[in-house]
Amino acid sequence: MNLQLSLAITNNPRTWPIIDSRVTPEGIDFTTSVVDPSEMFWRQLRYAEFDVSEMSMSSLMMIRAQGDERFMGLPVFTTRRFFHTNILVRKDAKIDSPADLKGKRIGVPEYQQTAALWIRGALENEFGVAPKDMTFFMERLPSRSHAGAVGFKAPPGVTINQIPAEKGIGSMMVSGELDACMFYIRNQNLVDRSSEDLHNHPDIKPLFPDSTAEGIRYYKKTGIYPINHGMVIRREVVEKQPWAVINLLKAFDQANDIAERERREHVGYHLETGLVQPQYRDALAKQIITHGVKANRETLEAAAKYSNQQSLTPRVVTVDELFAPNALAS
Amino acid sequence: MANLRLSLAITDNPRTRAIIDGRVIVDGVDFAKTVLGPAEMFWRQLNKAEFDVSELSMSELMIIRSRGDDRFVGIPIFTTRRFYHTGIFVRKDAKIDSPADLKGKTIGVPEYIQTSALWTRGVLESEFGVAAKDMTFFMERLRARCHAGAIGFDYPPGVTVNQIPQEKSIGSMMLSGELQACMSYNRHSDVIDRSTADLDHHPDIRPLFADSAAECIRYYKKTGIYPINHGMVVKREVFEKHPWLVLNLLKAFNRSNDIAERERREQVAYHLETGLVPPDYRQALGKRLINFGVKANREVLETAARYSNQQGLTPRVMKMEELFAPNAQDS
Repeated sequence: MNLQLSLAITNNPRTWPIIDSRVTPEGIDFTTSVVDPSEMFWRQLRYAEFDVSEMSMSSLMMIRAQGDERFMGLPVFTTRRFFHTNILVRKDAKIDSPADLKGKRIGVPEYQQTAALWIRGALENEFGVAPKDMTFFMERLPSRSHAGAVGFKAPPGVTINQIPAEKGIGSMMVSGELDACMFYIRNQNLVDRSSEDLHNHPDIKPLFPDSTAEGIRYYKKTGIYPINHGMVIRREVVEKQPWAVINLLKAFDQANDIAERERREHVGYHLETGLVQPQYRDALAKQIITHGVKANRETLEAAAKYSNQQSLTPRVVTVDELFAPNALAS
Repeated sequence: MANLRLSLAITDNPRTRAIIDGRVIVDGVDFAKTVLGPAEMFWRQLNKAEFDVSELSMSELMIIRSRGDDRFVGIPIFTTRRFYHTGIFVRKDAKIDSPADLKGKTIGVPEYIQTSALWTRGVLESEFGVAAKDMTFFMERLRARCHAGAIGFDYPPGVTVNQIPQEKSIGSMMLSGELQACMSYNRHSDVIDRSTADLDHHPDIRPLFADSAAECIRYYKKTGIYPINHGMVVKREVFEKHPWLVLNLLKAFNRSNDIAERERREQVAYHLETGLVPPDYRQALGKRLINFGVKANREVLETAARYSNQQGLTPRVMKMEELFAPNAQDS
């Protein structure tokens, strides 16, 4: 009889083959819930509901540094983005460059979320704007936030105000109570509540007018494609079934291989017809995402460094502390 | 009242995947699905009409409809396309530097009537002035296991189609020099095809078009045609009892195609974000190339019908009304 595990997972090309069961880990039957990450991480941090789930890398670092041993990390990284390119600002806030964020009021759904970790890291290390230079307004309420679930307190020198329940980042951006916001989340779920369409609002603009160009600049300079989610498995499951870790890794590698093959299939007609010049065939076939510790060590170490720099963790958490021991050679 | 229970044979590609894995349901139908390669699928359909619904070679659908074989009704769903003429291989020692040099040469083809060969010959004749009768054909599939044999098709007058003996194949004859060129080379050996040689990497063999990607784009820019290979069919007896099936199928495949469109954009997002593919290609990669229905594909289908008649496969130019179900004509 297979091991029966509950799984919470997000929906993207690298997870589809797991969700639709084209790939099944050996020896494991999943009961799968496709869940929005904000809600998934809160349910895990607060109640540890799922045996296996994706997890905010930033929150995983924090709980490991606190000695919270409920979860072991799996080096499977399904989502990435150049998060700092998503900062939105009010047009009347006189913010023409990242440095102008100094002294400004900035909204954030969850101070400790991985997207915000990367944004503050890029602001500080690329543009010289430290967290203490801004005044933060956090949307999620303590009862439904990741911070509340892990007992997080604002680092010394950083001001994090609570946005009251009747307001949201969206409403405060529109009313002018905020000058800027990082990683605006508009899809409502159990933990987020903003609904305004800031991307098409006449008073709001992106900090980086050409945000794609800024993403590419950052990637060329640093080689880092910021990881958002890792995965975790409950420690008690690994202690009883240590084989589950590598079997899970192998399954997610297979799912990633399918995503790689499907991308090439999906773009075949666009290359053949010349809608995309044939010289980009190799680029489109290039594998950007590889799971495992080795391929992602540099990115993970950058996140760990930012986490400590921002006082989310009292020391630089090492990669070896984050992941199950049998996954460290992956 | 229970759903209709039907058998479906289908190929695996981004546009069919949501049907295969059940994400898209055809209203009113429960399918028993068989994922098959097209060579075997079409033979099994033409030979014994095994499946209620399947893909079918557009060339072969035109041929059987022109001969009064009305076992199947067409549905304008077109899951696979390619610029087939760019798939021609030649021997390096055969002195074939341009398409015109194919005149007087021996050329292999898996199945003379297959749609990819129809397009290859059509483009050779209309773009490069090389007619079918200018070449000597060698066909690999044996009469007992070929599409032509299944429908009792005889080759058009003036065209020479020799049978490749069972112990040989297009691949082996390309390597031995018994063939100077081949079209629609299919290395995937199954119950129908038997070539196994890797012609893509053989030192004596090269593609006719040195830059085949450039030739695809040239042809597409000039003609606007992206050649269709497979259409779909439903057995006439099923269609007559359940005429609603045609538009339900079309709607379901449109939804499946919509999913393929969305998935392509999701699949390429990281490559655009990192600049591996320049961001100005975002729009091109978001552009929809494939639409089902008669209207969006009329010009391509009419070209294929004209080629079919020009090559003597059909005695007249087949009309859309003869190929597709009446309730799909307006699609």
